[in-house]
Amino acid sequence: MNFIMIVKMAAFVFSAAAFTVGCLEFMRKGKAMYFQIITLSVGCYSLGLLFSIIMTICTGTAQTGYNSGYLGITGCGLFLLSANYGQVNGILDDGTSGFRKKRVTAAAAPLALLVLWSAGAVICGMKNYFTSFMLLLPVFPASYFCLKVLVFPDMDFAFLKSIKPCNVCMLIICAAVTVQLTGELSGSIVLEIAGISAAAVSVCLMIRAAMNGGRAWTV
Amino acid sequence: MDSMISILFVCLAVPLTMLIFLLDRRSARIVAFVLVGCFVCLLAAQINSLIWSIFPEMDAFRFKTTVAPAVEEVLKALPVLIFAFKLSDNRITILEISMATGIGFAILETLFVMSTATPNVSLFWALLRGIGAGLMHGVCTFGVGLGISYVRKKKKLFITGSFALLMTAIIYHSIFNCLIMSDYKYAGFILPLLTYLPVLVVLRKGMKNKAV
Repeated sequence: MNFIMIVKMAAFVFSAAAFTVGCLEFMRKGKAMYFQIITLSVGCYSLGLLFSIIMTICTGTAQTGYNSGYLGITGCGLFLLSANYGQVNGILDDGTSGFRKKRVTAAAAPLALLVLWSAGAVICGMKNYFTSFMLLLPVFPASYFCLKVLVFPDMDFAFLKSIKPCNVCMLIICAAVTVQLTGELSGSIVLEIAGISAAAVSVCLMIRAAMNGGRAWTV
Repeated sequence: MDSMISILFVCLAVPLTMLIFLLDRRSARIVAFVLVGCFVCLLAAQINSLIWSIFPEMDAFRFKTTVAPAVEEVLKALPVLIFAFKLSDNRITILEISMATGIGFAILETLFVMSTATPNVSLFWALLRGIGAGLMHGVCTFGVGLGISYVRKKKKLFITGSFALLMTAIIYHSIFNCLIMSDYKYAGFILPLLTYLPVLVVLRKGMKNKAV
């Protein structure tokens, strides 16, 4: 068993535990859907890791190139996007020109991720740019809406304050999965391990932050 | 010569279609979507064959764990999406027809697998296959149906959420395919059972709330 496999297994255990805790805490009537979606994002990420582990165990060799496990990252990004774009953005941003500066500031997150991805891809000599970009496509807008929640004023909504720590973790997850996928598709073990470890720790912290936030926002 | 899967589809479709006219609205809808699921299976078989003919260098294991789950999950979600758009966005109805579509898909797939592997099948095989594949297809489409049920109520959530659930269903399906083609096939058959039980609780709760 190689080192990456051990890291993936540890990351799976952490993320599956976070998912289970999230399910027990939020998958009940009266709990905010925002936190339910966040929990599902953790579930999707851990399912992607599980596929990767099972595939390696079943075939006996490490997988190269595209496999369904990568969809865990895409799915996680889509769930994070659902949470902020689908649930919060309408309340947060009324579309008026007064918030233009905040919106421009929020665009720094996807731009930074794009720079991170392209730098990683160029340095590590990634060949399948298109696959990597398509898989990360929902992660970029997800990071935009995370930063938007962080930079926008709380106004009179107490729940906005309660979800900010969650969004810090979400931003780290977006960056971590970008690094992880860049590492996996370019064969860089260092990037892969760094990305997986950071993402696993962040999903646990995100569920912890969500549990704190959930007490302030229960409807 | 007609393909075996088409023959099996006709064998199932003709009596089920006749049955639909004798049933009440809800039961007829469920049986109709079982039939739709069977048709989707037929369609998926054709599309998978076509894709495999385009990429002949891809081995069966890789194909069944990467391409086939994506094709099948997208196709199974389409009738549910059309139903939600055109007819009703009632959550319980959508979840019912999602499960029916998935199970219909699994019925034809199991019959086809049985017809191609006749010497190796047994009652035990049928039981495992029924629990494993039947529930796996049902649970996956159920999950996607959950996102689709927001089609009219929350459009933003529907678009991102449905795609996210579709990704989850594809990974889940890939894990199942990976396990049943390996030495750990029993784990593959148990996996859907473990996920079906919470689904059953959700559906039962929903029905109880509806009745109240």
